[in-house]
Amino acid sequence: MDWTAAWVTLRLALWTTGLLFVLGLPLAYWLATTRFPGRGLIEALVTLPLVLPPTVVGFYLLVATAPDSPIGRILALIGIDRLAFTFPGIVLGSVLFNLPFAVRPFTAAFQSIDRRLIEAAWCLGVSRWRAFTGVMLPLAWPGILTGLVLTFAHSLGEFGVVLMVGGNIPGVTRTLSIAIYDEVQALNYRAADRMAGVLVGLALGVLTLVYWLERKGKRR
Amino acid sequence: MRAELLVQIRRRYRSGFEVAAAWHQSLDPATVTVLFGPSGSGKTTLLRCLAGLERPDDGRIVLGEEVWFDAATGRHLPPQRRRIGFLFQEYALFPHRTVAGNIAFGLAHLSRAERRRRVAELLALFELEELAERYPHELSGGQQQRVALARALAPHPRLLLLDEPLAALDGPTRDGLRRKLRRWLHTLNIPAVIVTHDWLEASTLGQQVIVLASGRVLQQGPVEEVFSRPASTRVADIVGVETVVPGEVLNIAGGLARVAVGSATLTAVAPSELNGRVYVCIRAEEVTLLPAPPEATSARNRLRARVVHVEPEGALVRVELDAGFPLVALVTRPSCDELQLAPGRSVWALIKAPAIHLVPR
Repeated sequence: MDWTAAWVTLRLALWTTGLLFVLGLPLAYWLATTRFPGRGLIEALVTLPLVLPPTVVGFYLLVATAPDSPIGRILALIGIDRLAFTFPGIVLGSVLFNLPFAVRPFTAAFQSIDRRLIEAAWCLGVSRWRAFTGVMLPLAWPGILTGLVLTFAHSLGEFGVVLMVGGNIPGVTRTLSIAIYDEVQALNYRAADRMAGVLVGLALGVLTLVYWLERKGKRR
Repeated sequence: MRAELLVQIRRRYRSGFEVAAAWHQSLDPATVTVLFGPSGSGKTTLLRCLAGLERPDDGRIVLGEEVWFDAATGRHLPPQRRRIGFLFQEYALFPHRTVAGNIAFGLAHLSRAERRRRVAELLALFELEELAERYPHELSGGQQQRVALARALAPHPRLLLLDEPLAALDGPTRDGLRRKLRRWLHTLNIPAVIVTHDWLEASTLGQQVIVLASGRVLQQGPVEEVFSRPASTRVADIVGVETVVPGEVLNIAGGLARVAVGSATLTAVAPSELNGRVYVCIRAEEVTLLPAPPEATSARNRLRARVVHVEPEGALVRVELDAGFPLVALVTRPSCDELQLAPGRSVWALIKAPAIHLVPR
């Protein structure tokens, strides 16, 4: 068992989930409550990573953040000289690649809330922020939790984007799925089997949790 | 200060549907305006414009000295700042909050002690003390309605907006709550605008009624005037109750009330609260006409009446009678011929006691 790789994997999953909670929630709220032209395009962009090969996302991320690119220069200004082959780099790749796994359940959760409940809150004179935290958030919570758990589980097994952006640096960007690949290449089936088993167990546990949460959400 | 609500709005939809209405009502003493019409008439749109949930395309809304909406200056006060109480059609209670939690939601600006006092006050007023810790899905329709009303009234709104307040309830619950709602509106002295398609609700609760169809105002005025003298057959159709006359309750015995109307006396089923002066409401379909006095009948009311006017209305004939008070009957064409109904002819009118509705005035 490669404990260093397991630790990198766990950190990557936690960072990805945390960032998508902070960034994905406003995006989902905006998508769920606003009508505007070109909305379909934004939704398609959010869903795109679901159908694209991870290598494509990784490739464009490398190109976009190269030191001589516009984004690369901005990053250099704030003290980040490169994203390729670094931990922040694979976090960014993982966040982009997991966007649909978080934002789609969030959006669905917000959309399933009866619009009149929000209007009722407004008519009671409370601010929009309080209507959001006091009505929207508690009612959408099962769906938000589902999105977070799915994101976490999915980023545990991230392979393509991490390999493209991060390479295979032990302790920095080498995750469990990459370690498994290495062991198989080296014909160490027993080591690969142990790590693969851990991932299967984790994924199964997390998905069971998701379905349990969904049932709980429906009961209300 | 002019204590008046002034409404003059027009709302256009991209589909071409347009709603427009104008009225004013006194805030002190508080009055109730009823927006009356079939579904799709645009009455809920008007209510949502008043709440600020929709923005009219044209016109003005002014409450007292405060301008809520003015198309000319582009002013549009958001619902949060209008201090209104809105009762949604299916109540829209917060499912994740208890009864007390629902009522307290609009009181976040108060201190904890003040909030608790106000919630207790409303729980008592609406007889909800026992249910304070229940969740909305554990309540009956009538209880939910009371919670929604308590929640809307908690922050001391200046105007109450009720969207079909009783439509989601079953018959007996509705009858009870209709009378209570009238009493609450009266004792709290709160001006209100009520959307409904039920004439009994309109005449029990309102002073002023605006009859709408397809987004247009067909008639507006005092309730008894609109309901007893519809300006067109279309209004009469929508209202659905042709006879509305003032009467005086003489006595009540065994659940039946004797009511003096004009020069006639009627027997009606008595609602639990009556104070003497009532409106007597009779739907034209409920009046049976006979050429001679009936021998044995279960109908309590047998009136000698003179035909005043006969007017064909599709397959039916509308007959205006003088039965000691103006009465309207609706008969089929064959029975009209059979009875040889013509102005001046004398007939007998039969009305069963439960078909006569008494509305306090």
